[in-house]
Amino acid sequence: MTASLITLYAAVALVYLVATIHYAVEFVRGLERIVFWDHLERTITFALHVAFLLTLGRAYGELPLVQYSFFSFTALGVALVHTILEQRFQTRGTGVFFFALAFVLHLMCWPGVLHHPEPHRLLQNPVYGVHALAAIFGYVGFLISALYGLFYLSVYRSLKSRRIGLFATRMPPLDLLWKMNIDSAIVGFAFLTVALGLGLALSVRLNVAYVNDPKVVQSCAVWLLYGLLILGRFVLGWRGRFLVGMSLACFAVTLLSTMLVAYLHTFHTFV
Amino acid sequence: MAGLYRMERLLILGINHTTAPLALREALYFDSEAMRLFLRDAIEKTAAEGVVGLCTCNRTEFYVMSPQPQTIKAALIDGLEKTRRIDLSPYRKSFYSYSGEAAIKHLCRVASGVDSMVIGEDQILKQMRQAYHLALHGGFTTSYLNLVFERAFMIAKRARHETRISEGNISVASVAVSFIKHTFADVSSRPALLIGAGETGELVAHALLDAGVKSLAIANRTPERARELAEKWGAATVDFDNLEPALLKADIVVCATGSPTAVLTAPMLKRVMAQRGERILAAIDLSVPRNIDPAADKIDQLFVYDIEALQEVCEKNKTKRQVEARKVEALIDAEVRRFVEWSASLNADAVIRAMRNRIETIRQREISRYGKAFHEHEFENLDRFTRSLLNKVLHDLTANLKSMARESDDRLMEFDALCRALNLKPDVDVESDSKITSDSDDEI
Repeated sequence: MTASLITLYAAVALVYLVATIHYAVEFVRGLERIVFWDHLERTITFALHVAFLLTLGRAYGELPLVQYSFFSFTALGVALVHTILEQRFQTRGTGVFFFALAFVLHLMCWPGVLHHPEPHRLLQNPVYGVHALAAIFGYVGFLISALYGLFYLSVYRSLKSRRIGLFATRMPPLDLLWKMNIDSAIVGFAFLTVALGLGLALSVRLNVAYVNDPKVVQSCAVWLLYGLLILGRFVLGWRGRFLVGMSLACFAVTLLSTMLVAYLHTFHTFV
Repeated sequence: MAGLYRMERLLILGINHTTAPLALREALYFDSEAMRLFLRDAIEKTAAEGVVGLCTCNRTEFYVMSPQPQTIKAALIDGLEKTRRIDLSPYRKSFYSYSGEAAIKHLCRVASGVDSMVIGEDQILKQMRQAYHLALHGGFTTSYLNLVFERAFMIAKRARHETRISEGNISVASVAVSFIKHTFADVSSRPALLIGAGETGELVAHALLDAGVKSLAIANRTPERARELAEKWGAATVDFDNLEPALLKADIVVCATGSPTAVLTAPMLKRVMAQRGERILAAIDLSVPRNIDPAADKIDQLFVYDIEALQEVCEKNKTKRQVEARKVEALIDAEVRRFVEWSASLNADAVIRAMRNRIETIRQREISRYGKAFHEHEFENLDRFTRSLLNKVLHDLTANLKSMARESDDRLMEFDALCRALNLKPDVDVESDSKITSDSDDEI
């Protein structure tokens, strides 16, 4: 099991590295078109990554969402959300950054491959597994949204100062960047909605006092915050720099509150 | 029958933007039908075996294969004088000519865009292909011209693929459009406003229309001129003295008037931008003095690109292309050398093939002459013996001819002497020509 796990771990790292190099070459050369090989490369990446996580789950005897294995799930989330946006907007300019991030995140799960944790009761529940997975992908969506926001501000500055270097040249246009910023927030919001819904159903079934749990309160607050941001976009017509500013503010709150809650508890208080 | 490839028979005669004034370039401009007739006359009335004519706004060039390359020069100039009804004697110095390897290099430089007015431009390659196919389909090319052109196209393709000679815009209009494309993903859906219907504004507006802009409004101090341009492009006209409503609608503004003061003032733009919400406005100011108040630069969501910013990018890109041009020159040198060596080896192969065919014919003739005197099994031995004998005799000769071709590409005199001595008629076409023609058809 360990040998196949290590092989899969290395294979996943390798495909992320290849994808990152591929994106980097395209970034430098200014190639934008998505071709058949890109789809094939992505399919292989995701297939290998899922196979690795399944094998890791079998080795753990539970969903591998604790300790270092969490990073590999995050890597998959980053790559997945980015690929959704890449397909939607047909632009590959930012892939190098997200796949490099996914590569690093996956590498960080190495200790989790070597040392398996004690099985955790909650992680053996499949509903909780989907809930946790959806929550991770939700936060990944917000992280990607924030990164697009930063890209937007950087390109905005370059255009304003009329000094358009390689970075600004290769980035998607400004009006696409803010759309990618809000769309990734929407993807994150959708995943978080699923996570909260499942969490609610699970807590009712387990009959636990979830209302006082800081993690639940924080997640609900984040959900509400991003809900308001999306409302602002579609009801009040927020757009451009203002929308990006708001989404960055949302992410700052999310980041700080997540860090605070993580400092207090790793798991829910009722576990 | 192509005989041997004779590089020294290749001649290029032409004029371009560096050697000839515009008036001469205009006088020697041929449309495709006129060019076809000129090429036909050149083949019929001069010593040209093959000829390709290239005509663009910056150059007119003829690529000729002729056994008398020096006399063909005068014949072509005479032909030009007669066809275009112009006295070219004052312009003799405007004509340049290259022959042999220098001609191949020049052809590759032209195809790669290194010799163009705008270094690295792509249009020239397309024009060269059209010129070549015009000659090819008219039956005015020779197999060697086909070979040289195909190689030049291949080198030009590599130059654009392996270097950055074609990267970065170097005209103000295209840089302006590229700035706008950094702002808007889909330029075609963005309404544009052109303020000032002069030549400069017209250029950028034209570039915007080429980029797909569908909605264009024109404002000009003289409304008649605005209406004239609007009719030409299917655009709308707006009141020059009341620009604010048009600025509210437009996402792209091109300003190019001769006004000595700002046409779009900072307070006016502030008001407009406040009403636009967070909608970006990309403004191109091509005027000197500037038509967009420099103080407007600080307004959020307004991106102003003045002529200085655009020219700065143009100059930067030009410098980059000049650096890349040096890489392309090195590539051309290496590839042309390889090509010359390769075509010399084809000549050696053709001579060897002709020699072997000739000797085999003699062998067959002699065998059938004396073969009757032998029994059947003796006849087979005789056949084997003569074949083996000739192979052994020819082996060293073949090897030496090949190494001679490798040592130097200028062995035609030796090859010719050998051909005369053995009464050979070598033909390089046998292996290479059909392939070249089919390749060229693929390229169309």
